Amino acid sequence: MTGVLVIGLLALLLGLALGYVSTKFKSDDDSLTEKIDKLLPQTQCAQCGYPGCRPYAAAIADGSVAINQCPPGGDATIAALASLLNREVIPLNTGFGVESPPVVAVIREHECIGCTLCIKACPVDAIAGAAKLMHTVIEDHCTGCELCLPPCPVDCIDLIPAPDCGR
Amino acid sequence: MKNNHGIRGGLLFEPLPFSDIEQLPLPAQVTVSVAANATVAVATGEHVLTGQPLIHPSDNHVMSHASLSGTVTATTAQSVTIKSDNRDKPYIHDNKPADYKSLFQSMGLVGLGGAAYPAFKKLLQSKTGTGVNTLLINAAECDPAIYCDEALMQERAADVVKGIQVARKATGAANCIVGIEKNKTAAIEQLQQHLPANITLAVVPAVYPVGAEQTLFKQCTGMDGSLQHNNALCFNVATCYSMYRAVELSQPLISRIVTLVHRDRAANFELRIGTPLSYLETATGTAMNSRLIEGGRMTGRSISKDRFIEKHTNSLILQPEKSTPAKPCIRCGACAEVCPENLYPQQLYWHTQPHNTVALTGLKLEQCIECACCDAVCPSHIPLTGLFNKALHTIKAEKDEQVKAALAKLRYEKRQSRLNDQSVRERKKLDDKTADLANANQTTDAKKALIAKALQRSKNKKSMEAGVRSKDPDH
Repeated sequence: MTGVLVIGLLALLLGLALGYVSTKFKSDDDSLTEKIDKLLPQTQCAQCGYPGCRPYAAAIADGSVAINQCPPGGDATIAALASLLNREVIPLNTGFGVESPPVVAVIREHECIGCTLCIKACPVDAIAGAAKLMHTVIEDHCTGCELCLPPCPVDCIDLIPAPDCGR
Repeated sequence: MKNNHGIRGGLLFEPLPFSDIEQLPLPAQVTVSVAANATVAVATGEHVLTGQPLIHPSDNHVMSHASLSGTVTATTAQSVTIKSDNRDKPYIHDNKPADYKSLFQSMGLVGLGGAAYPAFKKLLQSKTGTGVNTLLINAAECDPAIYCDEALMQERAADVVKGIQVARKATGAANCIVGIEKNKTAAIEQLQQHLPANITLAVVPAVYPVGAEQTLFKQCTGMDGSLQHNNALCFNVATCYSMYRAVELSQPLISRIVTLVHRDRAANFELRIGTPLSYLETATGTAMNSRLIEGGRMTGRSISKDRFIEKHTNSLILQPEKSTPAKPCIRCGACAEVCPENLYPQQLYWHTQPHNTVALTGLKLEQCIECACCDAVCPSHIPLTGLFNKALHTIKAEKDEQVKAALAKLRYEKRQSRLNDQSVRERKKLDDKTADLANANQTTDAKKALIAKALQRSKNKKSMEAGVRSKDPDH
């Protein structure tokens, strides 16, 4: 009888404690998104199917999407995400793209007609220029997301290997 | 663990016998390296004089000079090749810059201790902040295969001391300490004869790597913390000698003393910068058919004998090929005992396999001075220093990537908020316009109502007046 009582009391106390802790120290979803966002490469390339790194981070935090949809981050990012979220390390889903060495965009300036379409497409404002004037890519700010390529009507943007990290 | 010399870790070496500084006949050809991204100022076929500038001066580059007179036979972005005319006719440096910074830069002075850090950049460092408090002169070369500084001090002590005084004037340092190892007795004697009373000679234990800037600073001053933190600057003793030549004799840096170690004997040669190593082979009669190492026994790197004497070439070692394959770590801890920085190389090694940035940073990998003491004592022949160097590069690349990602994130967020603001503004504009229009319509209605009301009122009045008139027949 005492045994039942003691166990019952213990269960009650622990239950109360757990209930209190779960409400008091609620897992902060926003900060989780923030943490995930920090691990993403910030290319803002939208290859994952979301319009940028943060939206993808929010989707991962929701648990609604797999962690292997970021081609620029590749295996390293997947491993980092897996260890943060206690999920299994899975290979990159090549349906979203393949991991390739970092690139930057370069505008062949003599061919540029100054349409400003690439400026509007750039997610990190790395292209400078004005209507009917030549545009150029600010190399240090370019993430190599390739989003400026499709809108260019004269196909004057090239991707070149990114200079060594060291600037 | 401290050994009986009051220095933590380190290794003791028996010094090799070494020769006086020898002069060799001029080489038939030299290839002088120029600073990266500098513009070469001479063209192929042009005749140059000894000491003539080879690049256009710029703010960032240290000058390169023709190390002998002759004809330029080839120029590339990295080097200029000159064929000697055997006359060694000097170029006259007439308009010498007044300040030490420009003078050191235009005379091509770099650190001759091995790192070749431009001397003028060190002066720039000292100009920021509160100026230089302590000037440390590094006369402890400590590597068991480098004797060029020791020979220089033994033979040209008077000029070396003049150079130290130039360095002191250039930095404006209040204190000046010359740090030298205990076993360089002849050099100590010579320096003591020439050093003025206001320059201290600090004799330090002959333990490798006491000549590492930071270690020497601590030994000489007893102060902890980095040199920069203590407002201190360090120049190598040979760099000071080149300062003397530049300031007092207007001679740019076109030669240096190089130690050649072969079969446990060290010979010192004064060589022109750009001398081909193959020339050294024929002129000294030393067959270079084994592995050639540049930069000392401990920290040196293997180089090809097609290369040339550079400003940083302090020593060349010929040693037979040896390849001992690395075996697994047996966790003996010998590496930790010799580490002068009190690190734990065995643990660091563990965390480089595979690379673990967090653990490596936690174990203070960035404090590693790459002295290679751990390599020397490792019974499993694990190339620890090489792995640590690679890990440091990986960590740096990661940091750079993080900085870049943070910048991209910031720009992305700013752009998002700007686009958001824009759409909010546009919607507001639209809403305002709709409201205005509605308002305007309403106003006309109200006006119409008012007019109608007014009309009604006047109608009522008229009808009332008419009624009164009809009721009042007398009027």
